[in-house]
Amino acid sequence: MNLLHWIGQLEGDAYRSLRLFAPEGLVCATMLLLLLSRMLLPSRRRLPYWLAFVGVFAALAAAVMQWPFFALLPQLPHTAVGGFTGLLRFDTLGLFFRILFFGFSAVFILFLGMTRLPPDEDVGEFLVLYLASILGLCVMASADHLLMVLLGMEMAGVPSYILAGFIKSRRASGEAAVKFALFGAASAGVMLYGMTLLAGSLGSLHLPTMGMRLAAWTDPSAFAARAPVLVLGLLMLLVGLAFKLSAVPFHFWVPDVFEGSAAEVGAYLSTVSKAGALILLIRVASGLLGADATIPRLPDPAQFAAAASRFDMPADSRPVIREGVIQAGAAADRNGDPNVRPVAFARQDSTAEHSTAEHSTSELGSPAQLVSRFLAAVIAVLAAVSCTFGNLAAYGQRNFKRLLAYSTIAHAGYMLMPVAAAVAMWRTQPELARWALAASALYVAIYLIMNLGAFATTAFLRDAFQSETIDDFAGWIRVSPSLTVAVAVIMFSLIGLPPLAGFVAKFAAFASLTYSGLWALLVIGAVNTAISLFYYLRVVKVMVLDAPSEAVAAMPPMGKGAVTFLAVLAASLLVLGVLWQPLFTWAKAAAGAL
Amino acid sequence: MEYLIVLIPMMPLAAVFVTALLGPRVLRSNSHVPTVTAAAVAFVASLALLLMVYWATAASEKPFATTVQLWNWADLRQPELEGQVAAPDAGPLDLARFHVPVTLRVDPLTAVMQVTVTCISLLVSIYSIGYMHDDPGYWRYFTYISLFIFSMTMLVSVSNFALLYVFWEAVGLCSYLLIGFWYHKPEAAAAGKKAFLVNRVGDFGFALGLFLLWSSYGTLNFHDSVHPQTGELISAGILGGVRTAAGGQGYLHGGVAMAIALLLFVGACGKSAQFPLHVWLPDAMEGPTPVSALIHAATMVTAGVYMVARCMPLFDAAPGALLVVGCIGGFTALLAAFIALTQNDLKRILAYSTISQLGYMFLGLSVGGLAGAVAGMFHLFTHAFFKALLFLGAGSVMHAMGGVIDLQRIGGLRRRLPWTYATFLVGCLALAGVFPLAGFFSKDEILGVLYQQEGGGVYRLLFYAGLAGALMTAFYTFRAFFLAFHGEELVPAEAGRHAHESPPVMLLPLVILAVASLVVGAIFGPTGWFESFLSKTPGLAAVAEAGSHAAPHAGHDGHTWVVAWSTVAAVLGIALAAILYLGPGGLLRGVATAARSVGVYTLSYRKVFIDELYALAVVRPLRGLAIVAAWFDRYVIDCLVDLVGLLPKAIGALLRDVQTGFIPWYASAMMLGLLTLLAALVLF
Repeated sequence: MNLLHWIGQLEGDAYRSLRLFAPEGLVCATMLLLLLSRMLLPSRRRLPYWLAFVGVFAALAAAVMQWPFFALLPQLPHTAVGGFTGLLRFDTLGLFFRILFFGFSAVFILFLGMTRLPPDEDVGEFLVLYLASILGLCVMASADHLLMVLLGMEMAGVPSYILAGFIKSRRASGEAAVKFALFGAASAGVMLYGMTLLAGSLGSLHLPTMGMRLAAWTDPSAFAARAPVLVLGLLMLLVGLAFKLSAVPFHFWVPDVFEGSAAEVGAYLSTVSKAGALILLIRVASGLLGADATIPRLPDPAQFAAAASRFDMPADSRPVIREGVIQAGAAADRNGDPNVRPVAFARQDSTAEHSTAEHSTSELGSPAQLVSRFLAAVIAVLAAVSCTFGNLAAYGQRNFKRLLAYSTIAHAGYMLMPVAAAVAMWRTQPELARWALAASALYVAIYLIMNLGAFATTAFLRDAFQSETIDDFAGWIRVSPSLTVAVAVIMFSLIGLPPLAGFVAKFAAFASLTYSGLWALLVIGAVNTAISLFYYLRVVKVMVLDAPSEAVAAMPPMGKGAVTFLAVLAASLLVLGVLWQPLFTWAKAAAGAL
Repeated sequence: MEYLIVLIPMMPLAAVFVTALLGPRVLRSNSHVPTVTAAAVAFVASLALLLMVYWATAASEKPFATTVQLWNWADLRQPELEGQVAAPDAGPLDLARFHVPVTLRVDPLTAVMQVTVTCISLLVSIYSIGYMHDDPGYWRYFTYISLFIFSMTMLVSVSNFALLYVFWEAVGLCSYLLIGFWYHKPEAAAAGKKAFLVNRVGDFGFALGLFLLWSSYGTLNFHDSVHPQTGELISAGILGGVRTAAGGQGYLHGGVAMAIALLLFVGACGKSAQFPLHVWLPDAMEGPTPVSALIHAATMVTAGVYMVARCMPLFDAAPGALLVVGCIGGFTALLAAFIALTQNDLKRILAYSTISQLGYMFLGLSVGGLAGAVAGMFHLFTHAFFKALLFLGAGSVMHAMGGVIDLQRIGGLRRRLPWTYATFLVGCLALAGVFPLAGFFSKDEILGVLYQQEGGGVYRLLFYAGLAGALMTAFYTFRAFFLAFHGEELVPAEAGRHAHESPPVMLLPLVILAVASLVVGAIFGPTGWFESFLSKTPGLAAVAEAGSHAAPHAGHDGHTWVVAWSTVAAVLGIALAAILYLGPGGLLRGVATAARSVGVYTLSYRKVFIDELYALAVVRPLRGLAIVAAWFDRYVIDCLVDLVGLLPKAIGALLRDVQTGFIPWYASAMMLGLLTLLAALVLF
């Protein structure tokens, strides 16, 4: 194999990867257009909304159209799911989340167009920052390499720090941004340190390679020697993820940032931003544990040709990265020379390691098994603590945004529960683990709708009242009955009452706990749901039962746009509560790729 | 057939949305149009369904049922289990078998219920056009009614216990909304709350019953599921052909069966207002009268009877539970009739009469087997017509009298309200069980099966209780009738210029219901149509074959004897009422004084003090508990919560000297968290 051949393949890989990365490309183009429009057509105030909406919608359409091809990918030789020489991983689960991100963004931009923030002259900047952040989330959704993990988190994080401080005139907003940025920097630092530890002990930053190495450690004494470093590295890596997920005890920024920044920013931070962190956690866990992924079958040639032709890709010229370069790296690694230990950029096609991995899984208590149990325990503890703390702290809040901030923390806990279940079952019952991941994907999808609704409510009420205190919303039903009903539905759904979608999400998540036998977590989740009843219902109670203040009674009814927006969200929650199997089947199909 | 069973509930569902969205602004005083249209279409569709089922069953001797699966509400089955035969030893808590398909079923029992429900719904919603006109909540009323029709039609056609529970709750919700329809009236709001809370008790039992069913049978489906391609059996439904065909072997026996049956019956007691959960129904009369007719007399309250009839195989597996059903039913029938003797509120009398008649239905069911189910269901069927008729008649009186329904303040209305008078008389005769009206045949059927039951002395006792109940029923019915329509004319001041006959839109349903009350018993009872039709229901067909309880209907020995006695009881009751309330006043006063002196009158008038008893035994302790809980919440929970909320701030306040001092604390807390995790790791 000569260099030219290799470069040729690399080129082919980049070409192919870029095609799969087309939705993100569209988002990039939209960002450029937005910036240009600010320069060329500054007077067209509504133009940025339309540009961004069309761009995001195009990205959504592109992502949806990729689905059939992605669905075929697992049947190809497994190098096919790697993109950009293995930095990214293109599979259906990532695509599921990317579709969620784009779909959410389309709705979110509509919602932005309806509120009074951001000020019209700054809309362009706001949207560019938002889209840049979404781009980072997309990278997180496909990251298959620790560098990409870091890159994605920073790409998503940095714009959101600016977004948090977007209302320059408000002191609280600036404070929020500073806090957020400091925390982000601190946690990124910790995470980066963790990554170096992991890379040091496993000799790679490529997650599947790391997983294979881990599984290949069959010698217990060698494992025991390196275990402390490994565990410390994992924990530090988790700190960064937990920060993004706003899991306790890495949640301190959440209430302050949410209260200080605009509700629109909160709507973004509490939804897709967390979804990104969740998929990243899944990626890291599945990469590290997934060494015994089933050996892919060869595709049905006719099917593959059909799918490939849609993407204008010659079916026989699939680039396959040979192990040449990496073997050199691996060899250096085995020589133990720290100076020449390279960072492997490409997935390794090392059948030798693979077979030992399969061999070792049969033994109970293999390193991978231990790591799986350890990760599951940590995630479960994070879930339990976040859930309990969030719900208890939300109990006494008077400010609606602060209440939602704590509710967000609690929901991070619920969201982590199926992930804990999945990680616990990863080595023993892979089918069920995928099922649990599907449950968490379902939870995320439904949670996006609910929380967007909740934050949109805050934004609309703030525009009407100039207040975000719950008690100021007293008697709102007399002013705007349909809006109040929609808000009530959203709150009921956040509690998880049937027949709304929130119930279904919790139902699937809790079911996955029973599969994995995490009964304690199930009990904690159930008790927490009961606690959460109180503070969500209090919002509804204040709006419906309490006598309106004079200021409220004199208010004009809410605008049609806001009412329609919330009503549509509420209606979709009802429909999803009754008819959720299609979404779940889709999520199962998505998770099946792992 | 598959289309029809879907169409029937979908029409009112569409009406819900149309009315809710367009009602307040567009439809306004035409808000009834969607509901009435939907109910009419649903009624025609259910008639068509009934005929189709009839033809399908008439052709063969075999039981008949088909199911339509709309979609899977929940499917937790793992991929490898989907479409496979479940391993027989799969544990009961195995969620991997959990799936709830939204499946509707068509079988004779469902068809009968559908026709009853949609027919009464249609008539009541037509009647409501007149009764509710000018009400500010006109559109709201019809939205709720449509929602109720949807829920009720779904309730009787779903083929899964989980969905049965869903719609069981949904009709309860509609009932709550409609009882409290005039929510600004404190009594109405309180009555709604009471109904809701009492029903919770029953529903709790029902839910426990479902859990037990799931854990003992591993499925919640009524029907068997088969593989769509191979036709292989995937799982045997609880009331499906596989299990029922196996007879006694298909079901658990002993303690579990008893517990399941009793828990289900607790649910039925709540919904069907049986002692001791009957207290909500009389108060539910605070709602609009057509609602009382539709929900609290003819349809929703009979859901418990339907459920027991539907689950007859489960009850047959536990004869002890059947006996309990009979005793509760018999006792309720007597108790409610006794209370109804002295009430002065016409609607309240009818409410107690409903409770009492529901007791009769359970009495019939308690015989078990096909005979019991047929007796109970037949009474449900006829009762729906004449009780709706009576309530709508009472509503007509109320409409004319400006809302006054107190029998001491109205009287002699037969000339002012001739149509109401005539139709009400038909209803009263039917309720009293006079030949050849509807009530005669169905009550006679119940008494007949009770008399023939060989279960021992208890059933004979229950038979006499039924007979005594029949006597009291006839008496209180005609007492109310004579007080309202005969004697001196008494019109309260509230009536104003309203004191005239109701508009035709209200009279038409009355006349139709009166005709139905006259004929349905005679058509379906003695001819045996009802029984032969229902016997084709899968669950009931099997118990008929098992034959442990059912005696052949033909050749009842002593049947004439039963007929004679029940007729004597009815006539005696009517005669007594006539003597006391139409005869010389002195006699009435004498009897009343005598009754008062021994305390019987007060006992009946004060409803056997059950409400007071509950206030003492349940409400007060609960209130005390609530005070304790409130205290606990205020001083313990709130403090805890404040503590949790304040903790970072408090420590922050300790640590900070400049305002930005917050962040180091937060950051150190983060590190602390990491260290805690590490420490926990080291420790474990």
